[in-house]
Amino acid sequence: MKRIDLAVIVLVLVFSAAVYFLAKEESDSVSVYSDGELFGEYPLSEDTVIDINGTNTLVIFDGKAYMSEADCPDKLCMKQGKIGENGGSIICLPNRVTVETGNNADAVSR
Amino acid sequence: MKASELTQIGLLCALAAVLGYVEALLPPFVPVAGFKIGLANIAVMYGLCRSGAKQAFFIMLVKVIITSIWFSGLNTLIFSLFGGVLSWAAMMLATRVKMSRIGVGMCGGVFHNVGQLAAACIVLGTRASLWFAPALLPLGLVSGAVVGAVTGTALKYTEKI
Repeated sequence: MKRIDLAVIVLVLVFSAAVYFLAKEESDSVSVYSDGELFGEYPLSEDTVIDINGTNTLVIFDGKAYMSEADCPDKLCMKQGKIGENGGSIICLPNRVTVETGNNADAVSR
Repeated sequence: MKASELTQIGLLCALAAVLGYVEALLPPFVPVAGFKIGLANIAVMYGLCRSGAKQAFFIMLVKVIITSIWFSGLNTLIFSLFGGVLSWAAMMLATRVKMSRIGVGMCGGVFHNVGQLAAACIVLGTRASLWFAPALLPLGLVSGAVVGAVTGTALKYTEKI
């Protein structure tokens, strides 16, 4: 290990930490995108089940969102867990579906 | 190009394909399709340190095409390609500034993941994948350090061949 190696390690770690803390945000809604287009926005405060194009099922329960069903073979989006107040995203690559947290609950419920 | 050099590139391409196969057997280490450790990078890095940047780029291209067709399907080609090109470029620069073998591997690992995140942004049309950056970049350091250590050892023992 040389000094320049350590510099790279520190740089990557600092950058990652910065992205982590900057990305973290209070969120009260989730936005669902299908193929890059906005599919819908839903407040996290209301428990619902959302069918996305018949390929994925998103559940909002207890202020958190998670993928409960996916028709792809790997089911990776279901393994990505729950996203909620602190931000986060769920990605289903085979179906090109993404779920992202946001702050649009007011706009959605009105 | 000398016959010995050509043979070496051929061997490293074959090695990259085999390592890609080994990697395809492993379970995904983060729950996002298309993100991989980059074991086949050992062959690319070996080629880079032993023969040079041009040869390594060729091995990288063969690796990307073969592993995409065989193991992951052509729809993940863009992920392998972005990861491959960026990690090749990062490793080349790292050797230029005389980083250690492990350091070169780490640069390759981190930029492999940077490339894949960029590809995910393009494919999905959203910034959703950037949420994975704080986890994936340090993971790139770890997997890259492994690649660098293995390549360094391989280089040491095959120096005289």
